[in-house]
Amino acid sequence: MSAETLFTCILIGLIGPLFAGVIALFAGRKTAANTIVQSIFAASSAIGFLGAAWTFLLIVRGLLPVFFVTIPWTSISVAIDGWSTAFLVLINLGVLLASIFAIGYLPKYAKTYSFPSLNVASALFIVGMQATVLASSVFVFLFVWEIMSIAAYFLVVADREDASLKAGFIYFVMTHLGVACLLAGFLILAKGDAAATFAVLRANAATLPSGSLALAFFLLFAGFGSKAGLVPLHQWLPYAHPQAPSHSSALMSGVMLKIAVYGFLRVTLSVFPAIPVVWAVVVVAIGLLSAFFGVLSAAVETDLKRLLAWSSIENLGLIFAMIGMGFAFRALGLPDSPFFIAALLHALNHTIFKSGLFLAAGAVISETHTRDLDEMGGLANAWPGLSVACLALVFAAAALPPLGTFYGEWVFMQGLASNMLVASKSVAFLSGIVLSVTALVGGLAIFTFAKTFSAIFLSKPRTEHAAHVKPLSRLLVWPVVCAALASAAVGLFAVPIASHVAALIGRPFSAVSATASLSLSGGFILPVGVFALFLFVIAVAVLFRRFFTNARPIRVTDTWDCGQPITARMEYTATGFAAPIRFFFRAILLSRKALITEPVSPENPWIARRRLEWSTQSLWEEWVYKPVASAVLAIATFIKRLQSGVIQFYILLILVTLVLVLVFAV
Amino acid sequence: MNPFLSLIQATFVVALAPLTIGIIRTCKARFQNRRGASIFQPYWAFLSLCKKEMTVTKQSSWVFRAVPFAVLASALATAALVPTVMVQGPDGGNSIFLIAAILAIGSLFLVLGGMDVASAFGGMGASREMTLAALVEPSAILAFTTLGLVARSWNLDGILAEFNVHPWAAAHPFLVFTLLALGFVILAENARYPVDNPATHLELTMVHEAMILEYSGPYLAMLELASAIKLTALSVFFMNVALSSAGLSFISATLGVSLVALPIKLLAGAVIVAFIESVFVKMRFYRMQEYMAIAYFLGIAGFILTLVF
Repeated sequence: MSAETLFTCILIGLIGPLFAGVIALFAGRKTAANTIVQSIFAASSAIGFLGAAWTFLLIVRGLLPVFFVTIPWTSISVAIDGWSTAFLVLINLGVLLASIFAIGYLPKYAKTYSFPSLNVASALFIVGMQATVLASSVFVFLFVWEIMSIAAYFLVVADREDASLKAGFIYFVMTHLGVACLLAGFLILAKGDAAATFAVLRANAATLPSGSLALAFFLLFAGFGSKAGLVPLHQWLPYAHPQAPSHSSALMSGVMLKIAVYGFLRVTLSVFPAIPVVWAVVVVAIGLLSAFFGVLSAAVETDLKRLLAWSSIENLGLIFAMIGMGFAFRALGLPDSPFFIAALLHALNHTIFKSGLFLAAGAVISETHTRDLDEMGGLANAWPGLSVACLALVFAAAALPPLGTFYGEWVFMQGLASNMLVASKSVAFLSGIVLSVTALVGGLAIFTFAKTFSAIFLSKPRTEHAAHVKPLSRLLVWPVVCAALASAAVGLFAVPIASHVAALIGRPFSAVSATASLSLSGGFILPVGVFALFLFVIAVAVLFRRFFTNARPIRVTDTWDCGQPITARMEYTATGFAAPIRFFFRAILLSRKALITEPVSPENPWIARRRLEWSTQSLWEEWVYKPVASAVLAIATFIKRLQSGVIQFYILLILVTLVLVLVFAV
Repeated sequence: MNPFLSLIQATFVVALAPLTIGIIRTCKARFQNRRGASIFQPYWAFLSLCKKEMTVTKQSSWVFRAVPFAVLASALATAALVPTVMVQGPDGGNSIFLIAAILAIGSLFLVLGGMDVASAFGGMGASREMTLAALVEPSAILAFTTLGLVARSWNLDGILAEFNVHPWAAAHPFLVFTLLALGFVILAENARYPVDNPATHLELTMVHEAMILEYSGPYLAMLELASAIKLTALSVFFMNVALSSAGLSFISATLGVSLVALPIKLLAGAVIVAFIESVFVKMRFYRMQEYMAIAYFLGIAGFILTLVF
């Protein structure tokens, strides 16, 4: 296919949602209108996906040059290279799954959401994300970034409930703190010229003093990190993502966070001349801290969508840790490409499984009418198809083979191990620490998703709603199944995918794609072999059962419960399941537990009403946000004294300001 | 690695797995001044379970029925990948991270099976098992990584192949800390003392048993076999690493010597486990962070000292 055709496909992916947005604006609140709009989203993203994927393949194989296109009638030029097409693939994939799901999902909430405003916001959101990865100058980048961020705000507050408005407010403030950091960082690099292209930034960066470069780097890291939900700027994410409608949550968690990864990679790889080790170590530390706090909070969370949001913080933390290790090893002159490959593989996998899980959560919540895991249960019998797909996604989210996520993490962990052979002792030691923290995060991720899956699908239903769920429409189940299949496909084709990504990092394509295994010095793994091994051992287990054991009919009984009739009150809830983790990490989770005894009658202390209260609190909210907020309020109260009401005083202030500005300007 | 040789290895491990359990039980009985059953008793127990009628609770879903297959499959994969009978050279596909993940899959399915039966026993065992599996992960990865660092290979075959050629006792004496950490990990992974009591059905103390309480007949046989396989494979691997310190692991590509050495190593591993179970008490579950912390710091000590010296 020619470059023009491919570019047209990408452009359709970009313009299609805008077109759908215009239709949504005038089509009204009918279900049919929503179907049309979501179908256009799906169709355009499918075309955009194919175009972007094809272009990506051609570019990394060196068959197509990186090309710049100037959009007609404007002076805005767009860069299409390996990086932007790679992320366009992710965006379009997420949009495709989410919009097919929304066809069946949104009509269930016809009374809650206004379709025109929600779909217009979705359209702008999708366009904003795509345009961000295409932008090649500071002004365009920040402009479309802002479109994406503000559209996301309208998705968060779409149901207009108090909780959503509060979450939306927190999101709005945090995202604009982030944009302010980005603007400052970019303007330092651009030497004040907002229209500068990234190429100009690179030329500028080579001449800037190291102090300004460091300032710009950390401002940009803070800006992109706040969008990606890295601690301590993560506080908005577990509030905002769950409040949006589930298909939008899928886009926000699965896709929007990757735009932050894209932005960070774009500026660090193509603008900064080199990243010193110290900066990289800061990125790694923040990334691992985010991963740990994210997964720990997810492990004890019982709100399904908040749990998934916490898990996004974990995964983005891991991605940033991978990128940081890549820069650290690059600065030390050691092999660095495995870490960037791992980061991109993990970004791809996270897009797939997190979109799938949010969509599954949407389907579950639409029938159980609650987000609380403690009020679900027993859904595997009602929805076998969805539960199988979800179990596969649990494997993906817990980074277990043979699904794709495992190979991303494998490249990272094996990369750390392999570099120990060539690194100095202190670097090897730090790698070992990073490795074991990653292992702990992985272990807790398995815990989290074992808890989530069992609370939703296993044992008896805990509420009436959960006991009487209706069958799900195919439009709700198939996107989840497709996500699970895509995750498995990434696992099966981990080697070709990794070798294409390696070409993006700058390793020659042919050197990596020669074997069927992922190999680093001292370790390798054969994804196809792992698949074959799994199929073989499962077949052996099944044959054993079939031919070597008693095949008499199975007797159906009740669960043994010391002779009592069994009720849903007796089974473990998600809260109960996480109790050991709450206990072992009580110092970090600020977990409190108290048995409160209230005497019923004053005479007899033995007759009392007893209840258990427990809570966990956010360490960051208690120790970071509240002190900062009270400090800001105290300063504001202090400055308020200027408000004397005497107009001459105000005029004096204006004069002083003017004089100061003139002094500094000259 | 050669799939045919892995198959042979897995066959030996599966065939000897109930024997390991039998030896441990007999040894424990002797420590307690009892005669104990024959060491072949687990084989008969296994065969009679296979013949028995099976009950399945109506409070469960398809997951409950899938669990025995998944758990047995993960144990078989462990038996195929962990070098117990022969070492196939450094280019094996048994990456340490793959082994850790396969063990985690087994735990995950046991936990799902425990949660699916709607009883508090299953839930309690599941919650505890998952916590242990999560917290043991850093120590496991660190211990394996240290072994790999010394052997310059992060495949289990590569590790043992290197240790066969260069015994580690003289060159890397501090690897003994790593070996201890590995022992802690293996005891926790296999639900043995001091983490779990495999012989109890007391609801306050059981972890592994609580999850499989509702299984019976052939499904129970599959789960019991799976845990025996896991214990056998990991304890023989432990013995291989320990003995290779002095070049005595007798594991090589030639099947003859290895096959003679295998029962001896298995016996030694089983006696060690029985000894630990007879002289230590089981720890309270809510003190498990101490156990995990000790395992991790042993791992760190082995890692740093090996790195520095």
